[in-house]
Amino acid sequence: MKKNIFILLLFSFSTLFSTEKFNLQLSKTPLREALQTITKLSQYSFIYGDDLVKNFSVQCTLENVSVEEALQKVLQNTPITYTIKNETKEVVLYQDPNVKTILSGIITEKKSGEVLIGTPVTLYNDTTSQKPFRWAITNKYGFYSIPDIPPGTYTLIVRSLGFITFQQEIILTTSEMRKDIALNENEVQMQEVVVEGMKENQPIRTLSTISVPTELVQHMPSLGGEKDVFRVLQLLPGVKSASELSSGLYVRGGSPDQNLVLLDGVIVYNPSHLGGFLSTFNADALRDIRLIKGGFPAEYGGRLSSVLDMTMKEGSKEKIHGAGGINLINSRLTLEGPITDNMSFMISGRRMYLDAIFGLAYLTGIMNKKQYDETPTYYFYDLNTKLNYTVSPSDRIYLSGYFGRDVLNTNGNTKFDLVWGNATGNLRWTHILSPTMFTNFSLIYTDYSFNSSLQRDTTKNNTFSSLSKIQDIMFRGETQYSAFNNHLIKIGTELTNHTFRAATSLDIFTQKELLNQSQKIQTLDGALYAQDEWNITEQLSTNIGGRMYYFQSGNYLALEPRFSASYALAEDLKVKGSYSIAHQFLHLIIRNDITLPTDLWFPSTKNIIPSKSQQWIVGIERNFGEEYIATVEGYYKTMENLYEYKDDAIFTFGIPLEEQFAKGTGEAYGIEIFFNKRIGSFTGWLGYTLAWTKRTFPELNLGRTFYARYDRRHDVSLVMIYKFGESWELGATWTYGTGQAYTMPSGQFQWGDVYSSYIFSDVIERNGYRVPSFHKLDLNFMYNGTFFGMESQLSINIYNAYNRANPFAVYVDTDYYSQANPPPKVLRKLTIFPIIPTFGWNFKF
Amino acid sequence: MKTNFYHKKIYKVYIFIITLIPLFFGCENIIEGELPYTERLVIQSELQAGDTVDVHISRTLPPLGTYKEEDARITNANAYITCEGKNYPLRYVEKDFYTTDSLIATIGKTYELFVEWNGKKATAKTTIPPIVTIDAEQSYIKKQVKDFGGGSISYEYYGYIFVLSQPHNVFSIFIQRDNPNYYFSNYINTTYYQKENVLIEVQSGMIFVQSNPQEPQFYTFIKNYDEQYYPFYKTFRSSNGSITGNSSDAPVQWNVTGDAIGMFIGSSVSPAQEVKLKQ
Repeated sequence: MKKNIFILLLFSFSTLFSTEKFNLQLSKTPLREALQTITKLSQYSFIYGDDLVKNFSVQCTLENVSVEEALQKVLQNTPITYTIKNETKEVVLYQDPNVKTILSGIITEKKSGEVLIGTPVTLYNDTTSQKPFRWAITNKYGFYSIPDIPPGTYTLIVRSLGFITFQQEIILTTSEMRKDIALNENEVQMQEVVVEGMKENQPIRTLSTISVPTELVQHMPSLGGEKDVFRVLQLLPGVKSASELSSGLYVRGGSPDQNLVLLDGVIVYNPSHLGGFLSTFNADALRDIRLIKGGFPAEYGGRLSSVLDMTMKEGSKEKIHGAGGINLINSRLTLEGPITDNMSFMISGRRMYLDAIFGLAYLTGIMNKKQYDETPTYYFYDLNTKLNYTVSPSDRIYLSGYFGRDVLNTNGNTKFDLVWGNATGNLRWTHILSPTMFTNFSLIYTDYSFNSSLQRDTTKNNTFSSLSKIQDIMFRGETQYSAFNNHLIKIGTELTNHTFRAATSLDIFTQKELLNQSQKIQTLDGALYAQDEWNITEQLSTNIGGRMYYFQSGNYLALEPRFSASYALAEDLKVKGSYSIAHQFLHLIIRNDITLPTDLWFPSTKNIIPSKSQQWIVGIERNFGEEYIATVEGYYKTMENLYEYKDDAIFTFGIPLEEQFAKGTGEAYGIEIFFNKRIGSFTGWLGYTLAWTKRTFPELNLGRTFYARYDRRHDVSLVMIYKFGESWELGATWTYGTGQAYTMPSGQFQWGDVYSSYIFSDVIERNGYRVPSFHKLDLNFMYNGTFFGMESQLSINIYNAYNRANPFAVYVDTDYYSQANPPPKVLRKLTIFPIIPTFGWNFKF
Repeated sequence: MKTNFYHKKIYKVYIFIITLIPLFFGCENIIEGELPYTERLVIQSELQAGDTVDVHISRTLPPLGTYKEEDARITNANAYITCEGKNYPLRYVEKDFYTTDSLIATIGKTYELFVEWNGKKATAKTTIPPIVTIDAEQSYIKKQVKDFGGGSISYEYYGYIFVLSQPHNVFSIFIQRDNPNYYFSNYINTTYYQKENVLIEVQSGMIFVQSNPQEPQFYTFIKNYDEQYYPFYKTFRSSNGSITGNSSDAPVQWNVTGDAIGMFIGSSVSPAQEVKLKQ
């Protein structure tokens, strides 16, 4: 746009007869015109390219100045420098190679004001460029920073699936630019599982990282209508479940306790309800779900196998609205909205109502009073809350919390009271220190507890109480520094005070009494880490880092190098690799493969050496346009100092628990293939895993190596989501897995003495038997419409659509109904879930 | 143990609860199946010092189906024992019982067993350990009385036995009352497996009586095993003591090798010594 230009030239006498000094007054004058004026006044001519000066204008008043003085003033806010050739009265203008600028800001959703995580922000030289000039990825707080940009004109593009692409021409001068962008939601929603680093023009960040949109969870089939994050993750290659009932994640041969499960940066020790049937995470409350299956960067630590990093919603800044769902198992409700212009909230709750259903069964006569009294009462509830306050454009404060409880009790002859759960809180302050430096500080509190009391009869000799509790107070600080053109540096520290309490008693105590009498282990856990995401060349990207720990209990110091790299063989073809070491100082000692609530978290001590893993990963990934992505990854992982209960563990009060643990090693390796159709009305993926998971414990299986219970040779998952028309969607998943490893006898024999003898089973190998393979098809038909004035989704889930009799458990049993004497032993296979159609209603208001 | 009871109950309630969900959906199936069978010889022989050396030889049967003793019997095994370079053939007597007729187990001597049947072979080796005794002066029995009211009284006896043991001795303590039908024994465990001269508590368990009985006399004897007995004891016990009640959880550390399972183990028994009741 042509601006109104006013030029007033005042020619003095000396100016007329001398080229040395002159006066000059410029008012919003384009630089090109200003230079032409100076030429007229000074007789000096300028040599420059048109692109160099086209974006600048000048405003100044100068009196009695030389050419050089005039140029200093005129060019002072530009990246242009000059060389004067007095002999020829020429001035050569060129771009100052030392002047760089910084583009930074926060990317949000326009509608809700929620920040967008992991969104690529890309600068192109112009709109026709195929290759991006520079880029950055938003962090967990939506912040991005692109430093070291030569001033000039660029095309800025911000793309995020489900949002209209933002594109704008921007002019960067010497000054840094803050550019906050709010993306508009796309009318046509698309679903994808994003393998990070695989988007076009996006740098490699970490290997084996998968982001699952929370929207996707809503479209997947489920059992009982409750959408579960963990069950979606179990459909990814490299992630397995222990059983049909379990939502526990077994990632690349690691047990569930080897996963670092973070909710808003807070460790959740027990991420499952009902012994693993459902995860504790309410999908309605989540905004971002990211699983790192291995080779995780130095910013994460403390676990051997994987990281599941989930972020809660911040709460809409637009208006108060809500969402909810009702299904066969539980109901849930989420409310979010603004409190003030600068403050928003989110609160989300969920409750299982099995207890109410039994109550209804009693009231309607389905159960009689005796049956009702003897039926254990079970329910769970969880609550997610978050408050976020924007103090200034550079400062935000978040207060988030999670509270979940499982309650199981009985009132029969044997009285049980079991209560377990987590409570967490996180006060976080994020501060943009400079356009290149982002900091966040958190003060975290975690409380995990398991309480039980048992009363078998009225005598004190048949009672038992126990308590297991972990309380953590943690400080975490991290600085993210976009140092140069190709470096993103993160430095952070974590300091945790763990308090473990454990108590058992042969008397019934109140939990307070038990707490007072409990054995207390208090220990400090410190970590320091640094990592550099370094794009060495256009083709070669690396993430180099290290993590250092100190664990007070046992006085352990550990170092962990982390390295990953990616090399682009072609525009759509990349090879990747990583090597990492990880340590774990907290051990979940399990009794068997089912995660009972009685399983025990135990810290490293002088006798319990920290677990350690080393993992190597290589992979190749290929984009087929924007629509398809394929990856193949291979991994090899070794694990040391793994702990399980000994086969002959004794749980008598007074015997040190540490003496009951067997120590061993593990080995896991495999290949994962992932083919993902990301966009369109038909989306989904095909995953295949070929894997081996082995354990060697001197005190188990006679010291011989054995397969872990969840070792599964072949694992296939096919996920399809098809949208037909405006209102209907079909979600389908088909899974196949090699049967789990079980310990089974290979014979029976008689053993005893002259007085008595018994029939025993002859076991040759621990987990040496395979149960039949597992496969099933789940379907979810969804109708999007309006009911009761609310935007709604009605879903019909069909679990196990072709009614496959999948084994849940296999065991040898004595058939006492047989006429034979002695009664024969038979193999029984327990199948739990047949075809189960269920109905669910999700709504938004 | 109460804690085991506790775990069992938790497990059962847990299983019950998770089973409630499928029950609610109305489905539970039990299907018959098959298991692979590996036939192995079963050898059982305790070579007690001073006794004739005998061996029981049988075989395992398929893991499913009825166990019939007569099907498991082996009557035509080729078996012998060697000691100090001399072979002692084992003669089949009856059922699964074989004997050397004349070979007497002697403390300090090493015996090797060789069995062959139907192409399957088994070997084992054991040494008869020395007798382990107690220090009767330092050992005593204590009585604990519990009155539950209503005339219900229980007596519990605790034996504190000072065993003159050596490291790596693997032994059991037996405390016998004057009533020969009643004795109580301890379990072998690692607490004193590695130690020398240890004081071991042996608990009788509760004896409910209606009136105060006459004070009994107690006698103690020690059975000392070849060291190979310890890993067998630990694994055999653990494989049959899981909380799920399944008796097939873990392999057992037998000392018979080859196509076989079983124990061929030497032992010695100390003479019974009286231990005083401490009031």
